[in-house]
Amino acid sequence: MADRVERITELLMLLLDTEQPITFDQIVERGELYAGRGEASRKSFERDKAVLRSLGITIDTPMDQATGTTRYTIRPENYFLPDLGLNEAEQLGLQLAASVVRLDESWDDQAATKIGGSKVAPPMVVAELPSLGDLPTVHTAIRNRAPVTFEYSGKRRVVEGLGIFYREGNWYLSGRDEGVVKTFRVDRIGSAVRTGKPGSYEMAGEFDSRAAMPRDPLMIGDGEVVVARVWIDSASASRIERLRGVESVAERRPDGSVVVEVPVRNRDAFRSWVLGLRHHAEVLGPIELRREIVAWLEAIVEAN
Amino acid sequence: MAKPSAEARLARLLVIVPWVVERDGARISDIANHFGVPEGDVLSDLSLVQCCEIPPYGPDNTLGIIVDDDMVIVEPGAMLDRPLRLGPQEGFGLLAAGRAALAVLGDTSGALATALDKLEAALGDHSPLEVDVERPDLIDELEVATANRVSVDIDYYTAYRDESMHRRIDPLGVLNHDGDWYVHGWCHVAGSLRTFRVDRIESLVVTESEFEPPEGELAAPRLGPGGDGIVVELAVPPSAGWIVEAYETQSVVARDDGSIGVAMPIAGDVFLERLLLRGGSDVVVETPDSLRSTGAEAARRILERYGSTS
Repeated sequence: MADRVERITELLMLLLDTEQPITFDQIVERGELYAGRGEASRKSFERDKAVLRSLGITIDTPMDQATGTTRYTIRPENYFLPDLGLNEAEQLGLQLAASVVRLDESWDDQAATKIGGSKVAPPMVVAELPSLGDLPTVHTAIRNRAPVTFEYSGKRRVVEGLGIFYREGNWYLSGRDEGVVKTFRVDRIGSAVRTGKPGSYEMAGEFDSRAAMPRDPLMIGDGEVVVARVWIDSASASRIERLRGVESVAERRPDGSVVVEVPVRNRDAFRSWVLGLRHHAEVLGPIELRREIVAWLEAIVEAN
Repeated sequence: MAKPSAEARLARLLVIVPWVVERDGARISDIANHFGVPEGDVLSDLSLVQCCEIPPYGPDNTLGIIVDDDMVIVEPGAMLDRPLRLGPQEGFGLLAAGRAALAVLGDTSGALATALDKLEAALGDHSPLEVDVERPDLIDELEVATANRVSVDIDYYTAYRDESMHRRIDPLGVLNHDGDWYVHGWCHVAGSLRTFRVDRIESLVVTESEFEPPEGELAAPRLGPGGDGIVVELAVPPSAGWIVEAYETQSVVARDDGSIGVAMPIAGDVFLERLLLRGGSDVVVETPDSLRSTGAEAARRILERYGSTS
């Protein structure tokens, strides 16, 4: 009996070579594959097709209406990588990108092998990004304008994806959920992602991740914007000034401390930022923000 | 070692054949080296499928593989001589890597950007994918110092000790890991290889002191909190579930009362104080006893600044 890889390879060649879709019986007859073992042969055929599909190969299966028989073919345009038209510098650029960026999964390296050109030995990896299993599914769904369905924060969502972006170590999906544009952290998706019907929606203009979600965590959300005045002691002043920008400094005091002004939309994020600085920071105003911090701290003391 | 599955062997073959075609032939050893596969496996798989052919058995109906001694040649016009199209994972992976490289390295020639446009066009309709990584000014200085092999003097804030310290380091490379920038190098103060978060460098001066990088392969940068490695057990309410996502944990258990039991290593008292202040009154240290009041003591200390005597 032929090796299984040999048999699947011949099946692949046969389905690629045929101009018209062919039936299982024709495969048996023409290819001398799966002959003589009855139901076991049919099962082998099904398993071999599954292997080809697991490699991303699309097998078309039109039904012969007259006989009710399924036919099979692999269209060359669905199999072969189209000519990307890359010049040498572009090929090198992609090879270098795959070498200096490391994903948890080696998807980029597999792709780089296919696009041709010499593998680049990088001086050093310069970026490491997580790669989550749902990302290719969601990315392909957006390409096909197909909504995706998943559980998020205990609720079932049907989302028309508008874009995927990576920031601060996390991947996000931006999309319309019941008509409202929202952002979802992909690692917080709580179920398998199911893809809906392609061509179900239109994109709306150019995608901009910074419009979808502000870079500053203090500005994420729908709340009213207030400008907080925060005193920072001399030990932390230079670091905070560098992180928040010199324009945030509203006052410099003789002891080296500073008062910074920061716009705040997300009060939870603001509280987390201020308390991360511990006793090196004090909220001066507005008074309601100051009171919220005091109440939060008093609750911690009382709980002990 | 277990024999690779039929899927894995076939996937490998479908990549190896076009790769050999692109090079007008390749040595078994080069194929094995490039794909990270034992030479014997390459030879046996290629020898096996070189017999593959389908009716009517002409030259256009074979794989056209010829294995001659240690050379592999694929005849012109053979089937499967071009690569399989990119799957969803590969398409996503290469675009993500390309966008990340653009963000962290820049693209002075513009070639990577046009390559990504062509790649995306080949994949089908546009599917926006952005990698938003900011490149602080210090990265340029650190990269130049690394390339020129000159030491840098830094004032560095150590978060888990809540103190700044002056250090001289011999930079060996910069890395963006999960969104944070790091510089890896020899620390003259510690007398060992260390990794520093770039956003915690308070000042940096490039010196004129040249250094020789250590010989041999460098150990991978050690990322994550340093410190003494004490393990605390916490009861965490669902509202503070971000703690489980944000930090390394040893165990996470959902409890009947809705809370989450978390065992996690901490990098010291300052680290724990920050975590408890952010987590709020419902986050409770269960063990060790000596750290139970850490959050309250920190809160009390801060309240003094606010003039509250709670």
